[in-house]
Amino acid sequence: MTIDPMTRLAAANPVVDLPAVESPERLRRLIEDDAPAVGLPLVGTSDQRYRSPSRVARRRIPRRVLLAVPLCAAASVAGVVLSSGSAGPGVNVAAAAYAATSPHAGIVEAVFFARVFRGSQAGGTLRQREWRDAQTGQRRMQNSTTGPYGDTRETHTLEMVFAPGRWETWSAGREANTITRVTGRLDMKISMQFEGIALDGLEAINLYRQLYRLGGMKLVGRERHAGRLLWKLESRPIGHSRADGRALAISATHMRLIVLVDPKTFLPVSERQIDVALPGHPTMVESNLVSYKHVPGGEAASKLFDLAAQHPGARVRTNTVQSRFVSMRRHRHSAKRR
Amino acid sequence: MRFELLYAKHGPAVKAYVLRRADASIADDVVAEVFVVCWRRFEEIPPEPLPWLLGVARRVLSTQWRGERRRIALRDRLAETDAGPSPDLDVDPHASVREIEAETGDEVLAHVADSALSSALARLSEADRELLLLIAWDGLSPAEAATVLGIKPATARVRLLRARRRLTHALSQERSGPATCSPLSMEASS
Repeated sequence: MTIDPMTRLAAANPVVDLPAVESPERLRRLIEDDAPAVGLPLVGTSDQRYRSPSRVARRRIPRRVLLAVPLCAAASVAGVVLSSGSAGPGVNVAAAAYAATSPHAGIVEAVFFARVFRGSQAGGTLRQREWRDAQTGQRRMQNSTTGPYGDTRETHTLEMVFAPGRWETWSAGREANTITRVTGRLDMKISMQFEGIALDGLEAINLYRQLYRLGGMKLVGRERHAGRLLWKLESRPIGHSRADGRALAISATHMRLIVLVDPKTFLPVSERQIDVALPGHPTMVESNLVSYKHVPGGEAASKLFDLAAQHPGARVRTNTVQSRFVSMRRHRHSAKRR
Repeated sequence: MRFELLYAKHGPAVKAYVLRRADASIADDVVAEVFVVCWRRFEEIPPEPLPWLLGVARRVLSTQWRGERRRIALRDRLAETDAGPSPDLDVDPHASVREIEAETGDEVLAHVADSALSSALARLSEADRELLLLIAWDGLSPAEAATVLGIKPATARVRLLRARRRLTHALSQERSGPATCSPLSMEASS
């Protein structure tokens, strides 16, 4: 009788029953060891600054305040990094947080409210509503800034849409109801800056994911916030390094982030930036997550990232830009001809 | 708790995979290393993660063996320069580079109690042997085995057909007499 070789091979299996594995604690230690010893790497270049196509729109909105909350939002997301909490839930929480904040299909809508306590814009507030579609790479921000403008206190609203090959801005307040649309091969990047801290790139979630991997923040305890008991995370003093070349640029060595995270959803409920160089480590900016939800698809959702559809009465000015590479070549070519 | 679930669900299968191919003393280390890689590349994990995890385990094992070979080579070089084996090198002092190279296959074969089958498997190429073992021991489908080996499912199916034929041939040779032909000559004869 001939036995099928595969049957004979299966019968020779030296491990038939599945063995027991060690507890995840060993893994947690390994992952902690994997984190870098100091600081956060810089990702991207700090000289890639925010260059709005609409200088008129930008003039009325203080850039620092305008950019503070996107930073806070991004940093808040980054704050869910749970890598080295000695008494913390460890690897499972970190992995769950990572999974929970990973980009998923569909559009996410989040609202943040930020207050500026120090610096030239002290007393200012910013309400930011943001939509993001990770799959299509589209992002829309609706920022309402209230703050001192000379002797008065004014509110200005600016909307921005970033989509592959398209960039739109719309502003209200003293500005005309105009949409500036820039299309073409846009190779410029957005860098959001506040008090020496810069974030580069459009996808704050990528920053979070990177920080998460690197163990940039740790669980330091719990704190009650608006009646909820939240996890308190704290970053290391944020350093400047050019170890990596991608998405994050944090250049201030005196800033720390304190993030309060919902232990169930892993969302950053509140985020504070503190300056450890100043006496008493004062809070510079506080950003609170007001809402976070997934937007159902459909026709309305498809128009979310089109400012002309959102503001039908607005005048649309369209500019086309070429990539920096093409512009440089043309510049060189014309210089040669001269 | 996705990571813990992943670890609880697939950790034992990964460990079994390692135990079938390597010494039990390194199994826990290899499994831990696999899940650290899994941690780093969490967003890349496919919906059916086991083949992906076994693919990582395969590479981790390969790296382990390579490291071992380097340490042995270093020890041999030190021995040649009359310094003698370094006491700090954490390897079997009686192993040689050639032995360790053979170990990648021998480790697997050492686990096979059926001597004829072990000899027949020794005649196969590493790729053929691994494909057969993934299906017979680890219970994967040809498509899943393809993921582990980093090849296309269609390629895996064709290779499996040929590998089975070669194993059958090698087993028949074992029955008829001692092994005399190399895997290369087996390749030519099939």
